[in-house]
Amino acid sequence: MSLLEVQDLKVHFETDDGVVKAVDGVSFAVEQGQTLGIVGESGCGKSVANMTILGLTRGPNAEISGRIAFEGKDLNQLDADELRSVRGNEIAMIFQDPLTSLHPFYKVGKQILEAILTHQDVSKQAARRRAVELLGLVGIPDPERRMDEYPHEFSGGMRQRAMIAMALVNDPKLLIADEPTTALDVTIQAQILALIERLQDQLGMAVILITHDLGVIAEVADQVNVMYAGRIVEAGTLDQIFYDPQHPYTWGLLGSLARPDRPRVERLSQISGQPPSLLAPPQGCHFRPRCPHAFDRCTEVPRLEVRAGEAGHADRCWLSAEQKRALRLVEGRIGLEAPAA
Amino acid sequence: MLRYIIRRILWSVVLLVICSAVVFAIFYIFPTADPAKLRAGRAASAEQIELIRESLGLDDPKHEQFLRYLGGVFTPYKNEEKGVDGPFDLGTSFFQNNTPVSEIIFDRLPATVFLVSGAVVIWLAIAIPVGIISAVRQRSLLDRATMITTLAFISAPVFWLGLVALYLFAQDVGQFPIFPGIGSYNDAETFTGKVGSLILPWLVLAAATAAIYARYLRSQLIDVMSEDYIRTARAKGLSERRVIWRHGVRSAITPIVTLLGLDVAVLLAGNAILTESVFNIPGVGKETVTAIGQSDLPLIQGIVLFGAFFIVIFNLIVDILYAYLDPRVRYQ
Amino acid sequence: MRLKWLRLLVPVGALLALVFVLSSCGGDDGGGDGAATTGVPEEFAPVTAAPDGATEGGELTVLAAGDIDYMDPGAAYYTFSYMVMQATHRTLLSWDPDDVEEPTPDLAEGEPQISEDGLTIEFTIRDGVRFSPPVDREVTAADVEYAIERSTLPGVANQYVATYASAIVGYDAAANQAADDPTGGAPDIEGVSAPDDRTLRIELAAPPKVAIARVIAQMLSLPVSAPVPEEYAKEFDAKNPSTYGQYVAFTGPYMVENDSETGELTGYTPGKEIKLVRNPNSDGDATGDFRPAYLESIEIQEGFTDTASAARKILSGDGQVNGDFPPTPAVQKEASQEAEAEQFQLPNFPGYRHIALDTQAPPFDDINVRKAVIANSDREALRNTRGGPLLGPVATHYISPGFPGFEESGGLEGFGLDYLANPNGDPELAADYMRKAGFESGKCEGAECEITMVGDNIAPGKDTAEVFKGQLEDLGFKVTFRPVDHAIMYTRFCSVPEQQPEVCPNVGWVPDFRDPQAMLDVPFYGPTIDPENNSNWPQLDVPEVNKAIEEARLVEDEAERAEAWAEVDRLVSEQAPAVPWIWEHYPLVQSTDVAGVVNLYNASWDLAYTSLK
Repeated sequence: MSLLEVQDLKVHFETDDGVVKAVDGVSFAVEQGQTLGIVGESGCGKSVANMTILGLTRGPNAEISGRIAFEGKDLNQLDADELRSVRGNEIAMIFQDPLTSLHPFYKVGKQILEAILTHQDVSKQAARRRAVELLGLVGIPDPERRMDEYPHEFSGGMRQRAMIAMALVNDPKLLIADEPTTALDVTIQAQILALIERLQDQLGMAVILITHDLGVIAEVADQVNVMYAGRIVEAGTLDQIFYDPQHPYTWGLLGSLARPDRPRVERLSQISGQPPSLLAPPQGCHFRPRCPHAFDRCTEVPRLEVRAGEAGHADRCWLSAEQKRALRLVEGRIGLEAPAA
Repeated sequence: MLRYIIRRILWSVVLLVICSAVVFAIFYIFPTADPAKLRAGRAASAEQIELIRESLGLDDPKHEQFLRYLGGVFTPYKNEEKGVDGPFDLGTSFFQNNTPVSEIIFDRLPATVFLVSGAVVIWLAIAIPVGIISAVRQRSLLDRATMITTLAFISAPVFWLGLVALYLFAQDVGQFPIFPGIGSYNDAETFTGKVGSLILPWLVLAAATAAIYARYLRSQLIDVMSEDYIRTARAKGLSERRVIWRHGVRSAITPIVTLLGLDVAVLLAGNAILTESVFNIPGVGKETVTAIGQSDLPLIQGIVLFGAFFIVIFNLIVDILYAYLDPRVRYQ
Repeated sequence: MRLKWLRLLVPVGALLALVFVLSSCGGDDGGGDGAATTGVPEEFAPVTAAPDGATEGGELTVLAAGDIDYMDPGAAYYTFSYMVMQATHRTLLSWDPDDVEEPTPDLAEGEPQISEDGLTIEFTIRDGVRFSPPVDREVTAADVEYAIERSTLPGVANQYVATYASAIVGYDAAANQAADDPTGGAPDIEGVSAPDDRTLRIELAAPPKVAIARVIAQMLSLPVSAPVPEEYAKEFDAKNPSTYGQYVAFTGPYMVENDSETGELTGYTPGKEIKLVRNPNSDGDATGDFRPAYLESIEIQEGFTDTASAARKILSGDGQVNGDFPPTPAVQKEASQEAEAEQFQLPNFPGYRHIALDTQAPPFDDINVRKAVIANSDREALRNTRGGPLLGPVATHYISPGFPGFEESGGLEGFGLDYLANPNGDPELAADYMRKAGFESGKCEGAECEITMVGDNIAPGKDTAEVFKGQLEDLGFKVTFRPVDHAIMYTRFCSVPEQQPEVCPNVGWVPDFRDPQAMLDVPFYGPTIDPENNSNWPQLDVPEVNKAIEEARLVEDEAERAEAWAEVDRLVSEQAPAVPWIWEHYPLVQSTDVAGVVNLYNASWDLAYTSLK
């Protein structure tokens, strides 16, 4: 049994302008100790899908369906109180901007203590010891003193470390990291990713890493889901996605990635156009309006299934295996561009 | 911090001097009634008017009058002939039975302080829960009803609201004689009597502000509840109550402190004028009207200085309090 | 609001012409006139005597919008202040509620003795009148001497003595001395002396004139003649301004509650309240005090600026009367229809309200334009802005009902001038006059028709101004209305000829004393136009009128005098300098359990006669 199994998750929001289908039938699984990378542009629903796992998108305007099985129990069926005992406890989450994600008025230590005391019946002293220990573990020097400082006194990287410490205080089985490095500069990014990897090894937890940056995925992920406009368009192992991408959208992502292990090219290919409005997504394949290889059939919705890839490598593209192999090469590397006429 | 406070206080004195100068200038630049003529009466000859102008010190060069005034207020300057006995001498009213200005202000201040402090308690007691509930139940029927009601209270002129309150509930002129009516504050001998007499004025004065604060708190809280740190708090598994109160309200209420400090200062400085007038509460605001009506320069000066003093002091308190409430703006 | 009262009524008692009233018997009866001549409906006629067997004791509450001007009897000048002064001081002479013809001896044993040569006036002070605590001693003539002498101090700032007292030997010298040394104590006035404890002697400079002596004697019915104990007051009078107002010693049946050690008035907070209690040292009848003083205490509560609510509070409440404000028109109407008998009373108030047109500048230097404006004006509409018919009759000339000279001026009908004939206005007649003035269309045309009007910035004055503005516009004028504070309107605009606008819609006149001269002399005599403190608002300066005024001043026989001033009234009315629009009553209200008595002298409740039922 997978640690987490999401099946046909749909998250629709009712707004004054209509129904926003932020997540439109997403299924994936995370295994014990594994790292799942979810990649996609902002607004593709990757954050919403993951926040929904913790019930953070619940609200009067939200309509949520599907199954979110965590260790066999469906989180989607739990009431608010039951769900709270899972949040920050068995499943923890860290966010993109570590400054705005910490409460500016409370000391960092106090915020960590709060996380411990919410789920554990321990004394304040014990909780404090635990917090200091965790701050040390995530690599914050002089943790005892830093406990009594405010978030604005921390640097960006230190804040994210503090966030991670706070997420880990209750030994979660799953850590959802939502763009954990986006707001940080490049050297710090690498440190944080390394930290997450180290902690994962040390603590044996599973990680869902949400990012728009394939480079980040390349560093840490075992499995990768590529999301586009509320749907997963391609899912496979890291190697499958990077070396045998099946979906034109993935090609586009890969094409826009500057890779130090490949020779520099003149220009990075860009995906032209804008992601579709989730209020009125295009019929059929959501990527169709931006896809230079779209054809008649694309007005039908392709299911996410193994098509041209190896076993376990699924995608949602009607192109044939040959077409995919031929079209994804641009100037000798993977990219998304219309073939020269 | 101490140095900061001292620096602020010194600046305040400069500010008060500037305020006096402005009042003084306004008094002479804009048409005000001539106090010497008012005192002299309609049958007075030019000589009599001149004599009175002299005894009021209004015949001296303007800058001399102003420096003499400043000297009396801020320095130990004494001048027997002109009746200046500094420091802290705000002068003597031109009218009002020749009473010293400070005596008049200190006599009026307790009523205003009592009126304002009670109203503050009421408006906060109403605005905070209403604002929070509306924000939490955003777009609910309750929220919509509250917002419409508050809009009505904000739009209603205080004077009108006061009269409605009186003609409905005052014991003297009301349809349902429940609460003490006009002038009952002055009439009441005991503390409880004064409290009773202030119930209607408190409600009237608090109504509009409570409504404004409720709406303000609501919009603040709605903004705050979409902050990232609220998401973090929820993700930590905190109860919704704790998320709202410890994380949401704590942030949303902080700007209210600034608002409150200034509102209280301005009310103490005489802005409770309409409520004081309707209910005949002998406070600073009412005195302002009288002073302006009589062109009673020393009294106007005194009230403005006092008002400016309150505003300056409350600003300082707000700044210090804000630094305490929001660690990000703490001073070095 | 203050200035209005400053200008409305005040020292009715004093002056020159009173002599002539006194010198003959009878004459017009002021307050007692019926509706036919005064316009006061019978049912609202003021009660001027206490009921038989009036109840003793209890507390009366007086509601007031503003404050008295001064507690110091040497400075007090407002009508409302007199209400307090009359109950708390014994002046040499004072006023019985229903006798406005002449003052009654009070602190003085009897009428002043004026020597045959007219150079000396002597008052005999009663035995046994005592000052309130802490002074606690018997009043002597020297106390009245000091009271008069201290009135010259700039720090006391008396507003009327100087006008009438320069005939007293050494008065001007004393006044100059006080002006030079304002904190050096009260100067000695050579002509005011107390040869013994019971005698106050006032000596006048030659040439002798009995008339002037009588005027000065009359002036001493005003609060300035209330005795002031020198040994107690001089420390307060050594300050400028004097602080005696905070330590006044009283001789009347009532006194302001005070500290029995220091004498500081604890019962008076300016703008807030005045608490009157019985003066323990007053023994009424035994020392010849004619005031019955039924009440145990009187509380004057001030600051009721919303006068509508205050008046309703009085009408529906217990033990209350109004002080310095008339009820609003709406409340007057309610009171006149719904209140119990005597809750609403309308004492007659001498004087008139008029809208002054600047006769010195275009377009109103043309008499036909002025006549047109008057003819066109709907004076009932103007009256409605202050309360309508109850408030009093529409004025058709200047001398007001009940005043000497009123009947001689044609009574309520007036002189039959066509432009004053129709209280609702006569647009056709107005057009005729405009044509006579050279405006063929009957409407004002051209640059000179662009005029300025400076009036009140609050109701009801502002309403009056705006209604009149509309009436002017009907005649083709382009009016710029500048609303300002009432006091500013007077002291910066309408009373300063250089700044004077073409129209002053919110002026009015109340005579200082009961003589037709006081009604017309100051407001319409050309030579008195003062550059700083002018009360001749139309700036009327017509030789014919001036000459008539000069002659009328000298007429001594009462009937002839009334005729002479009625003639002045006619000449003034024919000059059309202003729109006279109302002869006002002064509405008084009281709670049902109050047996209020009106003192006709100042048209207010007499606290020393009023009782509770």
